[in-house]
Amino acid sequence: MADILSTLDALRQQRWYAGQIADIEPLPSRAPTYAVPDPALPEPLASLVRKMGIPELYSHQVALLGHARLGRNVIITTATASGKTLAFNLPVFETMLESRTATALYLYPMKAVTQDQLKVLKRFEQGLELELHPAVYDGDTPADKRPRIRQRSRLVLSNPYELHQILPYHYQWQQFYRNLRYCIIDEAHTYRGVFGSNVAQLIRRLRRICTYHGSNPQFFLASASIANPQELAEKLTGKEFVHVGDDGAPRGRGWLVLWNPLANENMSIHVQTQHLVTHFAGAGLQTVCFVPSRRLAELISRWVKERTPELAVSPYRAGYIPEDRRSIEAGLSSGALRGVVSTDALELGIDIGSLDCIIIAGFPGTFASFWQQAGRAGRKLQDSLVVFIGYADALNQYLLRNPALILERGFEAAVIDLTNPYIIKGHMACAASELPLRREEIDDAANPNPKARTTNEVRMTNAPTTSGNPESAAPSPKSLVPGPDVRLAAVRELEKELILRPTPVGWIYAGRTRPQEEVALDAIEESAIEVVADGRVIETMDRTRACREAYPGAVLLHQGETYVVKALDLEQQRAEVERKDVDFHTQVIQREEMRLLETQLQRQLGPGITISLGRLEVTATYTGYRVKKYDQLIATHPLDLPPVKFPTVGIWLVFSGETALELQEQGCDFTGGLHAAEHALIALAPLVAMCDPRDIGGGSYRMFPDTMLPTIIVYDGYEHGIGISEKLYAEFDRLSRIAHSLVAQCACERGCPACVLSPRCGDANEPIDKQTAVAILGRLQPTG
Amino acid sequence: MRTFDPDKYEPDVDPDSDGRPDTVSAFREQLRRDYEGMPFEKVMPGDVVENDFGSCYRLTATSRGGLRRGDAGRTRKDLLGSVSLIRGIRSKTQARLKEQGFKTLADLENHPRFSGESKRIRELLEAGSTEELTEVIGARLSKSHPSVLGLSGLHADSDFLFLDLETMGLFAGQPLVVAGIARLGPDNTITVDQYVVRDFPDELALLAEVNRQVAEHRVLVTYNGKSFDLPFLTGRSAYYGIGLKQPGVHFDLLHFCRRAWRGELEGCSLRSIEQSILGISRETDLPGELVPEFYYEYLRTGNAGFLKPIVDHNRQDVVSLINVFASLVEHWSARSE
Repeated sequence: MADILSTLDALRQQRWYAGQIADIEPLPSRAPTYAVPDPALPEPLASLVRKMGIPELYSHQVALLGHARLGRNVIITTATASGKTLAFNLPVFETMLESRTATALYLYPMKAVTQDQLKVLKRFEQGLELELHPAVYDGDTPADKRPRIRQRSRLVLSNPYELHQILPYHYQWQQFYRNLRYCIIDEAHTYRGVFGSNVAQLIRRLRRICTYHGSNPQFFLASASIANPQELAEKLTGKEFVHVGDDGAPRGRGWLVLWNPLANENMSIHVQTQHLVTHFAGAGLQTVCFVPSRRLAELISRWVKERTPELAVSPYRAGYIPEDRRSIEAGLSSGALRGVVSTDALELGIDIGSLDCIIIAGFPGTFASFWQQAGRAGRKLQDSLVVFIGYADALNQYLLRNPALILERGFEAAVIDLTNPYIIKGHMACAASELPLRREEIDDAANPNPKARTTNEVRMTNAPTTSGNPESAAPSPKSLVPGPDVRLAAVRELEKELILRPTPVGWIYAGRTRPQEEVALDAIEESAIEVVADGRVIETMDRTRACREAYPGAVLLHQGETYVVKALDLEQQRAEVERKDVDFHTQVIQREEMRLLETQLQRQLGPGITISLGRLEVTATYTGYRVKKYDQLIATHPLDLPPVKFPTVGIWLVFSGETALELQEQGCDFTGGLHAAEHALIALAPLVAMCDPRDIGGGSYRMFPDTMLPTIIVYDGYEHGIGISEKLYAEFDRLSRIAHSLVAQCACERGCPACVLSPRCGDANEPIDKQTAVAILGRLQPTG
Repeated sequence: MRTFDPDKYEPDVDPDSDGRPDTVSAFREQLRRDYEGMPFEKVMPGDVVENDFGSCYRLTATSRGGLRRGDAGRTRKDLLGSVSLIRGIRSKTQARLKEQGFKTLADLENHPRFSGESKRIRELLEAGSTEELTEVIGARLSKSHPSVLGLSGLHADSDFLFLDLETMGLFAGQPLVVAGIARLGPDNTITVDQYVVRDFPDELALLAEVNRQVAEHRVLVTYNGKSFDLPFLTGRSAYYGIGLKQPGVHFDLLHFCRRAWRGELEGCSLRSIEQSILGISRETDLPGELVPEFYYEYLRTGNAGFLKPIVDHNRQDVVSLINVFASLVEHWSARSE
């Protein structure tokens, strides 16, 4: 293999090199830490592990096993390829060797991964000479295979979407649920935001079914590195967790190269990406390049092939037929394939071995994803390289200047909201269709404390209670988890709509449809608008987002492909789109009005500045849209859409009149400064609250009617919020610190897309004052 | 042939052709007018059934009539003549056995290889073990083979339970609102009991009642019950956590009708069988898909008039089960004569 450092040096000799390497940071190398399980693994399992080529177990694998044996729920967050799968399979198979009935459920966010994991489980099954009939049970499982899986499979692999659909048929799975000992949730960090908040309710429904059938499964979660693994796990499942994070796997020497494509003004970012792939793969380093869209994956790999036909390089993305995917994965493992240009489809759990060089083109949105991708580099103890190509926007450019932020890892927190009334309402209806919903469950459904519910409470036969009203059952002690009141309100509303009806054994579902079909896990139910291309629903979005992104004429990006919206019917909840390659993009022009409803928390930030967390109402009017090619305005069109009004959760910063005067006296444009500061805060909020920039909205006012003072507002872009603002409030010091350094460090004079200019600004970035923003953000810093 | 008289059960919502409502909304309006403020018991005279799980409402009607079913002697004879019922005997073997003089199961009892199984089938026939015989025939011939229906001849009147459900949807997470059950009584009587959910708290008691009756009868007769009624009942019972004993023999007439009349008929819905085979057309019948809507209307308004067409529809369905059963038996006995 070529020497990595000399390959890197050779880069500087290329004609297209113009100083793009902004920095090279060494990645820490580490010797392995091994440990020995005590008591030892049962012999068949120990010898199988040895046969798999694993002479010794890493410390984190043994740690997980130890907790598991004590009946604890565990979340593990060690690096990609550190043997997390083996870690949670050890306790599972130890149990399988002892028990003739125990079952386990494995949930993965993507179908492609389950097939891979099925192979792993089969290897264990055969090696241990057990008959467990591991099987994938998902949307692709043929109807004639399903009954047998339900009856005899003791290891079932599925995904949340499927689980959501099959829960009402739990009686067909009696054996399985009654004996469910373990529930494994892999890639847990993907369960955040709207999706995660829905999955958290789904897991509560699963636990409810288990309780009914007399089991209380232990949970093992695996996640990329995040700031709040334990909190995420506990919110997702409602159970107490221990966290295993000390990675015992070895790592060779590695370097993180920060590549700023803007240093070469004459060559586009994508062409530079192609050059980098060609350079490293051509030098003998097996390379995977992650790009943000399917189209780019195809395009860049085609360019590489055109330039260097003898180089074996292939694109990889979701949507390929399984055989094609397998052959690419096999090519990577065998080394026959020298390079792959991929979307994030290759990021999750797919076993492709480790590589010499990973190129990450554009920040993938979260550090968790970044390190999942980067973690593919480094084969055993050999040298490896991670190249980060920073795109032109504020976030990417900020990261190029502050690699420490990347190296720090685990900075961002996955947010989940357990109180969003829409999400709760949908799942309450689903739950009531699975088993009658009892009054005490309303108080306790999200019960985080497994002790409060034991298996001997299970009633296989429901005898009628004395009264005809589920309300009269004595409520159990209030749980610590928020939400009983939200759940009760949801039930009341459903009752009013004749969807739930009270009976002596609890509320039963009496709606007109199968509620599981109505509740989408990746949308907030009541306002889900289906985006339809060629008669196929490609995604769903809530009403607000549809008005913002799927108005007639809009260019919509879906998985990197461009679609043009033909019609938006808000009543039919449907947007018709057409797949079309266009070289322009569109941008809605909106006017937003905000009204503060209730302050829940408040604290002083600096002299004359407070931050509050609370509820507010946003009214958005979409008046038109701009058509732009690159950054060139081509046209402006009017839009005729009804205003969207929605309640949500937000934070607001209120400045005293003195602060404003002080800055103004220094000759600052205070209004422009507030606006610029708002942009910087919103641009970096995803780094703190692990969300998409599109999930957040905001506004800034020289004088805000509800406070009569200068105010900056940042809010969750979803009705009733999904937990982002709560996180921003809690982590505000961190957010204001990085926002301040983003703007202060930027070399531009008057603000640029890399700091305070937002491509999504409804006011076309007017007025904007970068220097005042630095002063304002500086005053937000905690003193001392 | 004596059949149950369906005319007796014609829905009495204005059968007079002049005033017949022609649209659903007019029908609704008429129901509202005719029954508004009328007490439940007056709209549908019946009684309240109580059990350990609560109570529900019951309408009972008794009529004279009987069930034409397979002839016991003939069924036995037919089955004893079917050597292909024995595992391992296909057409080739059958021809060879015939040459060797093994023409019936009785002959085969002397055969070195097939004696055991032929003896077992004879004994099953003698014991009237239709549960096992249904499986034997189903596995060797077809589950909808005429001789399966012929097994009905081996049963006593009191074994039969005819069942039809009205539900709030096709998904077993939705409630059951009416269950119609017909039984054959002594002295050529047929009793139709309809259990009605006055509001959802009644459903559990209704289920318990229906499950008890299913458990007490050896033979269940339904139309499309293998795909719908029985799985639905199973799902609802599981939902409430009460047991349901699966019936020993289940004649799902849909499958027999398909076999008997496919090709001759446009569809095999109960409605089209009624029209083409029984010569019945329902004058004012509530289409099944409107059941949930009318039930909601009843719940919202408290006007039992909206429940009445559901109950009438259900009664007609149950009555038709008996008549379709008879027609099938007649169809096949006529053909084989």
